[in-house]
Amino acid sequence: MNWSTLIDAVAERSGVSRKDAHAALTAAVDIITEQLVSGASVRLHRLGTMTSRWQAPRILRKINDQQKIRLDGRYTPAFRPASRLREALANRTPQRWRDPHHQAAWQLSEALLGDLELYHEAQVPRSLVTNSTDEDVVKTCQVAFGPTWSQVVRTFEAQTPKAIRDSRNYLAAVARERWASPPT
Amino acid sequence: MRVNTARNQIHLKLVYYGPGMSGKTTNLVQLHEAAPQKRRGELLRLDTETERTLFFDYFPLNIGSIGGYNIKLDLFTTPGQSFYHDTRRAVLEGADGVVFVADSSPSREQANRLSLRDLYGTLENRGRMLSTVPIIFQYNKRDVQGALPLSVMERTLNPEKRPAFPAVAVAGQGVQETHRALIAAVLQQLRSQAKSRSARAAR
Repeated sequence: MNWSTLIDAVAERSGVSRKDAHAALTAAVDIITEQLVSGASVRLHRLGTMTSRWQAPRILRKINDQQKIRLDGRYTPAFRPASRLREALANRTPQRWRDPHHQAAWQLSEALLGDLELYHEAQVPRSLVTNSTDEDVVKTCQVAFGPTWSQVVRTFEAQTPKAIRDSRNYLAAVARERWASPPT
Repeated sequence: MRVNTARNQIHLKLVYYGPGMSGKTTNLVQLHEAAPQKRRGELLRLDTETERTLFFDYFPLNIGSIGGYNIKLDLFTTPGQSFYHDTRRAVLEGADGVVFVADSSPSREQANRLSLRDLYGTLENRGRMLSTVPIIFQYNKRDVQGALPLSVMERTLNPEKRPAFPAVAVAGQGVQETHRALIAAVLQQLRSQAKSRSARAAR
């Protein structure tokens, strides 16, 4: 979204003309800028707080001739988002960590795969890559560990509610985190 | 516990429980080696091809007579691998006392916690009250580099302050102390059970 599309959206949602929206937004931006320049902070309800932050003077080295230069201290703008905004962004993806069942499923997967690594180190599939799909990870582990992997899956299924298992494949996720390397 | 009144015998089942590779089998091997030949039975080990416990280790031990009864112990270990949950549950069935063998390696901190939670969960699912099950803690592998401080292990695993012993089972250190404490706790539990039974009968 840019300035022009923002004015369009404000005009449409608030029911004022494009001209009035432009005037209001311009005034708002000017006032915020003036406040920040004067050293005040501006708290915008549901959005966050805009402030200025002092950056101390520092010594830098020029890239081309390695000569030292002294950079003066300066004020820079800073923004602290409101909790409502932070939450809205976090909720773009499911936040399952708050559910103790999900934590338990992850911990169990860590324990199961940790023991697999401990007892069957030679069979750990090192061919896994970080962008492998869950299905690929499971297939690879099945081939690598054989019946022991089936035992792991049975144990996980017996102790984890189906709804949790259906929402995320924790065994595949933990196997990928532990054993996969970045694709070449 | 099985009581054979005809032969004046009491059989007690003691189980060594803990995460994988924490030293449960080593404890049993050390106890077996130290026990007098006349009093111990054969050590039965059901290992996988990688010499790790697949089902359990077991040996019977006669510790002599107490109160006119001959006390026979059945000592078991459980498989530590978290994926042998059903086997662990089966071995734990009817246990009169448990030694929780924790691994002092920092990398096994989480495994200790999960294994202990598994132990408590299994006992509770079987209708056992945790306060009435004698459980002794053994903090094994005290010789590993960077071993977790005992205070940390106590705080995270044993907030109830049950009896606990540091050990290096592979060198035989702490093995007998743990074993003796478990027997004492089990016998104490039997005595208090007998007392409350006779008190109920008197009413």
